Amino acid sequence: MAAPHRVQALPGGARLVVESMPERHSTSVVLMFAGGSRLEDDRLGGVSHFIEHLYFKGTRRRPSSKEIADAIEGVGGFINASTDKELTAYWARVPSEHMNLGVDVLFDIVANSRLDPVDVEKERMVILDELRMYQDQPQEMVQNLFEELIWPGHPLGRDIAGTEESVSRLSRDDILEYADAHYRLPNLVVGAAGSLDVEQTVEGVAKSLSLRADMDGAVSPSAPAPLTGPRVLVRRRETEQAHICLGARALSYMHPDRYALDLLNTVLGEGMSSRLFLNIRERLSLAYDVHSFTQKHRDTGYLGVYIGVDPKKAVDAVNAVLVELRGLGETEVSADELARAKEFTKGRLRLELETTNGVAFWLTYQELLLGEIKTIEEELTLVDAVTASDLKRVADQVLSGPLQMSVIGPFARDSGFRLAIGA
Amino acid sequence: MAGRAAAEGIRKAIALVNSVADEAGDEEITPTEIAEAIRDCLELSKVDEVPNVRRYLGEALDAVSDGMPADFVAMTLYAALGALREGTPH
Repeated sequence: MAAPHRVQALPGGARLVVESMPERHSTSVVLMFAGGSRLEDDRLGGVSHFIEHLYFKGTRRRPSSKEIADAIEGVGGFINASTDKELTAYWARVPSEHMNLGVDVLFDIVANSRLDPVDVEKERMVILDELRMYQDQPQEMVQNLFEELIWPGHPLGRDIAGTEESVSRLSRDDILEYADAHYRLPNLVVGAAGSLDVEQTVEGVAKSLSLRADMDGAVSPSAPAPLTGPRVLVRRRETEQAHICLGARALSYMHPDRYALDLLNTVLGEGMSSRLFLNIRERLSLAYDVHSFTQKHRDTGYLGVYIGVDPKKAVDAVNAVLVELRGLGETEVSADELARAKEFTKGRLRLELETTNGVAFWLTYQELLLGEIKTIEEELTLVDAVTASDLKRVADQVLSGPLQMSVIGPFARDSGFRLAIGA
Repeated sequence: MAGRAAAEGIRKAIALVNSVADEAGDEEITPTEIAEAIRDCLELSKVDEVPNVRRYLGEALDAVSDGMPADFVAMTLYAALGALREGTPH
């Protein structure tokens, strides 16, 4: 069966991925640039995120953020952007007849931004406030601390928004130089999905390419160094709840076992029928919020567990989670549990791909980071092919690595936590 | 049976610590009484049969000696109780 999408090489090294969804009323367009915060050294920490904010402040044709927003919201559409550790994405979702407007506004903001010095200073204050806001959100902050432990001294372990120090120091010249080096056509994949004409879309996007085509000055990502042993990081805060993240390095999104890892994560801690929820919350009543999650990058990743718990029960809850983790490497999951995890994973993927935005992001992400696009049928087949023995093997592999644990709560000592993971 | 006795001993120590933490007791509980309750647990053979129970109790005793907050002592005792629970057949 022919793939429902088409990949088109564009002038200058950019690529376009397009899928026609004729039954929809909207079209979504995504401009996705390779890079993100993992390419930043300590001095430039947060520059990708800073640029993403600044690009919405005004262009030569649309000199203010209001005019940018009005252009898209004036037709009922949405426009937004996000910075990740390995990419930055700008997107618009508009009624289909306005797709060319969406393409035009997105290319306008990434190619013609004014980067006004006054806006740089205003946005710096906004980002510093954003960074300070995270300090008051322990559930977010504990995950950032966990990532510091998983990738110590590496840009992947740093907050995408940078640090207060780095953001305070970034100059307009730093920002201009970084943007010029990374916002180039070979770094760009454009995605479009919705009620569209494929040929017209290719033509319209090709005409909008106004970024530079050559690459110089962009750096390649470095791999994080191996972890030397288990570590605990306790940040003392007089919070009512203890917030804990623990886990280990896991697999990259390029790894053939990534589907097994996702199913392992589902069995462990996704949803109310997962082992963590049933055992830690329902059976032992140890924690109100307990779930697991994965993060995957080009050459690394992790499997983590979050626990929100009464501080008095914190170490007990950690130990109970460790029992669940060890169990995954000791005994194969049952056929029922595996079947449920597969249906959960496949169902979530289908739901994600119901919207034009979901499809545009999914295609663009695959083309940019994986270098190839799997159809949903191919993806579902790979999920179905995973066996219980694969899960046990992957659990054993992942959990034999050194565990890392970050804790935020009213704790004067870390000894109980260190004892729990042998740190 | 030894497991049950150890669990009851730890629960008693937790109750003492919690009454200090909550300031709920009619009589003032002294650190000596809490330390005594923990030492009673350490004398039970079961604490050596299950991994980490003795170490958590030792941590709790050190925390009492060092004047650590009651909540911290309670957390360490709950960890000992949890280790005992996990190490004892259901």
